[in-house]
Amino acid sequence: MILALQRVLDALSVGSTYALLALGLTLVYSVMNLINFAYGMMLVWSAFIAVVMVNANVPAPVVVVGCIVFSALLSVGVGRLAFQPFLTAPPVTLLITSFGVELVLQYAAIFVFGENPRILQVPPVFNEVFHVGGVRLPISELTTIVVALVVFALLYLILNRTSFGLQIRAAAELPDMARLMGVSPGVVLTTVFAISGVIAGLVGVLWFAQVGAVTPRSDIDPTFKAFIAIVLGGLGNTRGAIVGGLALGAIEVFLSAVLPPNVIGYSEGIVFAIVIAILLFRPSGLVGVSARL
Amino acid sequence: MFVGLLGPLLVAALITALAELVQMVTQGEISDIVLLFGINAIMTIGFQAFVGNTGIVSFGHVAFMGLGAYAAGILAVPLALRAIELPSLPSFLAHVELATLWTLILGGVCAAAVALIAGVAILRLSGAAASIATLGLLVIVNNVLVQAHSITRGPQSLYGIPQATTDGWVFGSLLVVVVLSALLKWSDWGLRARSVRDDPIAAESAGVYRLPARLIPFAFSAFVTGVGGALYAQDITAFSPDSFFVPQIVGVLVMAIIGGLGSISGALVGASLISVLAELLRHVESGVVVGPLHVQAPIGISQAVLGVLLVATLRWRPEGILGAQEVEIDPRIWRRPPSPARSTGHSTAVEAQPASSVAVTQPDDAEQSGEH
Amino acid sequence: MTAPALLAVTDLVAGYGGNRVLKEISLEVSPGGAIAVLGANGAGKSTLMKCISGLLKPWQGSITFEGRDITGVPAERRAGLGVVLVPEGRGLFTTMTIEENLLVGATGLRRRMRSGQMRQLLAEGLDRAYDLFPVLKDRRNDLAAKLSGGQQQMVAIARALMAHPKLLLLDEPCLGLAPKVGNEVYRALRILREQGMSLVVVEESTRRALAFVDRACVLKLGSKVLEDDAQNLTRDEALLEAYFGLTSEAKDMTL
Repeated sequence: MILALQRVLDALSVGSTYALLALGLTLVYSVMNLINFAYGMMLVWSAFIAVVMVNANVPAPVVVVGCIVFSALLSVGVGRLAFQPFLTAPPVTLLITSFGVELVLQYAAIFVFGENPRILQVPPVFNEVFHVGGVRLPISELTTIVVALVVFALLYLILNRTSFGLQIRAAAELPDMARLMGVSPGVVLTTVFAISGVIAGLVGVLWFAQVGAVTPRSDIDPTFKAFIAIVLGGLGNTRGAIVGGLALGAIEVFLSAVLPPNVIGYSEGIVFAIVIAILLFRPSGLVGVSARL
Repeated sequence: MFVGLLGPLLVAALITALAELVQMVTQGEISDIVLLFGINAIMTIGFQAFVGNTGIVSFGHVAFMGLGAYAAGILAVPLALRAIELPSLPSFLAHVELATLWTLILGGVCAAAVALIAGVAILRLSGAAASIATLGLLVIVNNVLVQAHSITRGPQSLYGIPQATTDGWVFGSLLVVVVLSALLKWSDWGLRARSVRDDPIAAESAGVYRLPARLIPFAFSAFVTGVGGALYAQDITAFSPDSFFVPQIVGVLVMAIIGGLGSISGALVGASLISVLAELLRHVESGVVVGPLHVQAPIGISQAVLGVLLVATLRWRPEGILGAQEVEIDPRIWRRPPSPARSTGHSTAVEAQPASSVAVTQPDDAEQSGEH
Repeated sequence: MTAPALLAVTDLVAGYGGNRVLKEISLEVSPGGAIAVLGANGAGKSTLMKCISGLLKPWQGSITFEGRDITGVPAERRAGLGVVLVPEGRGLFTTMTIEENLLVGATGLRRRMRSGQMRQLLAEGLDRAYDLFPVLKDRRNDLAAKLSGGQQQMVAIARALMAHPKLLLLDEPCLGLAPKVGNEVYRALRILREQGMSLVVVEESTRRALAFVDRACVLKLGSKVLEDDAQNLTRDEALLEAYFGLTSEAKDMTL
């Protein structure tokens, strides 16, 4: 029983991270057909900036804010420069384009920071663990879950209670119609890339704080997880993104609990195989493809 | 159909001749570069055979290269060394040593077998989801290669593979796969795959179903890529699963896109151009003297250049150099003057439009919504 | 000379891909006027609307609004200038409520207004919409997807009005609606006309359109083949039908 609770907590924590990633990715996808292969690099850059700031003895809260701002700016810059010209292109073209963008961003990181891992030192409190009735409650995991909840709530408010959110939803469902109403595609894109960047900045710090170190090539893991999560949940659908992320977290934790030790190395492959199997039966994902934000 | 073959075959023959010329002129000094170029050309052909015929951009083809490399490599390592390197190899693998031809075929067949199995799941999905699924395939294959210690040496390098790859094998294989790819393109299978690509619903009502139509190009392209991997294994003689993962995706991808995703000749042209470019960049990375200037670019800049090239091509010339046009050779021209009716030749101009829209902004959508 | 035109389309040439659809169309709408654009399917009526609203960039020719050349102005800015299109099929945002749909309609005004003004304008706009279509008021928080065709058309028109247009373009406002419902729509349009709105209506139903507008023109295969005062065309309706295959009287069951 205790073990089950533990697992649930772990799954929630891992799943929340993936859900956040998927959300950042889906937000952009819903407005333009971009599944961003370079998203992981946003996290990596955020983590590197965190490393630089931490090494300069900047206090932790400022580091977080700094990373968020940096990532938002980077995301908007890359979005307007590299992706906006492809506004009406089909998803595959954009996927390949984002692959090219990933290469450039990665090279830039190699150029600036070198290939070697950089340690991201976190304040000791982050590594503390509560113990409640036999269940381990790592602060890091709790933080992740809380942050995720806050982001989900904020995003919900933005999308459903502000005029900007209304414009984004309109542009996501019927881009031409939205234009006729006066919704500027440029403004929507900037907003969406900015929000996506903020999420990337946050998750970048969280992710690599838990991993401990970051290299310019560390983007593959987050990117893949994000991809799986959105495809699992249903493309273009924020609800799907959250469900997909949580489901992926659940699958991973479940596998690590259930698989015998000699097979556990295969868990990455098995997860992918499970996802592909799910897609076979529900090609539109667990929640389904829709324009609903 | 046979006339359509001649164009790509001629380009392949030209490339082979050029490669041999280079080998002679440089007296074999840059043989490894020439061989690698030939192997890249083969893999670009394999890649194009799938993407051109199905319209699905695969990010996972490196997996087939890896499978071919390991299949060929393991069975090419001399028995004595193999017993040391892979002591727990199952007996049917431990005692077989294959001649080069068989390693190539085996490499191709292994890759094709995996493609058939995985394809049943992946090829049911559409467009971007299928592309992401092929990435999944890459991860799964990589995972297996790293974990199956007894067969592959896991994350450690597999070494000691005899260097059996020669110009003959590489360029001979290139010519063969070019012919095969052209045969596929103009066969019923190719037509069916492209009809599904262009209009899956109409195709289905004509009795052409998505999965079987896509499966054949997928398996063929895996076979070709596997052969490329087998050649690669017996060229570099040592490798690890790392050699076949995400960083290796971009090379063939750029080559195919630059050349034109719909065209076999294009794949050859793209492979040639990018190989030359990559070489130049490598030189610049290690420092080059140009007149009074010493130019040195930071290591890894080739990655950035390829990335920029990729985006720029998709932006300004998404159909690549050749689009879906093949180089056309029609021997009948020599017998009588060309009549006006033959102006479009055998490159099935009807297909030129949709094929080039594989990685293109859909022109109709763009115009209809008033966005230019 | 009459007052300067509110909207002037001059020698417009436009199309999709390699297809030329509009072949040098010219058109004028005077302030407070209403014209109908008639013609069979494929004549180019919708294409013309797309050009005027900015969704389609013309290959040649110009579009002037209130004396200002707007040919190069992107679609999202035209609403703010006073040109609003209610497209064919209505284009409601199905994942939003009626009220949310209406609020989106006012986006075009934001550029010109400050936030305090905006709030007031939104409130006024909503009031006006609910006055014009009282049915919508009760259902303001319902999802747009749940409405009937006629109600959706009302929302579409009300939404267009939120931007305070000077020129309202309607592409087949009665498409798919029962004739009685179509009459309701035209009743609302009449009220708008009385309030001084200028209108361009694309219609297949010639009779109803001709009864409503001042002038009408007929498009055929991308060219304007006829333009006259509505009352003259009404008299020659039989001729129109015979020559241009326009929708016959039989479709208009009630009036």
